[in-house]
Amino acid sequence: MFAYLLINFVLALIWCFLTETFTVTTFVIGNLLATGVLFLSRRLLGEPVFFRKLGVFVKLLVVFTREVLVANVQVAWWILRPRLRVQPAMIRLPIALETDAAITALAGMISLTPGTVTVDVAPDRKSLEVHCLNVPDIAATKAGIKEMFEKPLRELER
Amino acid sequence: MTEWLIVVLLIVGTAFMVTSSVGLVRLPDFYMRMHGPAKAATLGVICVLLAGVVYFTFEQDYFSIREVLAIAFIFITAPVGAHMLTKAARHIGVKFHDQTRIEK
Repeated sequence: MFAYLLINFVLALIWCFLTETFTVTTFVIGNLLATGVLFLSRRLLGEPVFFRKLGVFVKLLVVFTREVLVANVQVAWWILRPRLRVQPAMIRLPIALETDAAITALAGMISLTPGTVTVDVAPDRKSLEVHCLNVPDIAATKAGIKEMFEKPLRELER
Repeated sequence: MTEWLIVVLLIVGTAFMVTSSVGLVRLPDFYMRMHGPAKAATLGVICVLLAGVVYFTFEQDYFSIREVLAIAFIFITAPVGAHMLTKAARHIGVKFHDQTRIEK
């Protein structure tokens, strides 16, 4: 995984040298081209994992962005509607992530999604404490977080 | 055209900030109020910064990478701030609202 990123950057740098323009745009284009080249030669390099992970990562990014936007509008509506009716809850979300980086990423994504804030990580790192602004159905909220954020993260950490 | 885009981004951004301030006044306990500002810092500030990016890119012909960086940093720091404040509140035992359901 890391080696791939390094090759990608080096190829992008080479592209900058070839075109003799050292701007952000060239570097970005170089990176895209390098990814394309690596994709074409993926069987030679013998590690197709990278592209599967890249796919998972892009999908996670899209899902996360959509979730942030949707939830933002939702929270705005909860706050602004004439009668304030919220059902707060402190939930304990069991997690099956192993690395610190993945747990941190999950906690960060939960906090960034409006309506949920990570409060604490259990000492045994088996669960997160999450405060939710408005959850009529605790089980559904948990399943949603697990499906949208945790599953892709678990694939990424492998 | 770009002017309209900038206007829309600014209005949406400030609307979200106003909403989160309203939330700060209306929501009953500390933990719930925590949700407001954390959100204003995400979508609200990001919309305003994006308006800046659009303005400088299309009106001034200058792509400002710093504004993109600011967006990235807000995305990194906002959840950490919210997390630490809530965690601190939990540790010193700030009271929950009566209707909060707490899972042990």
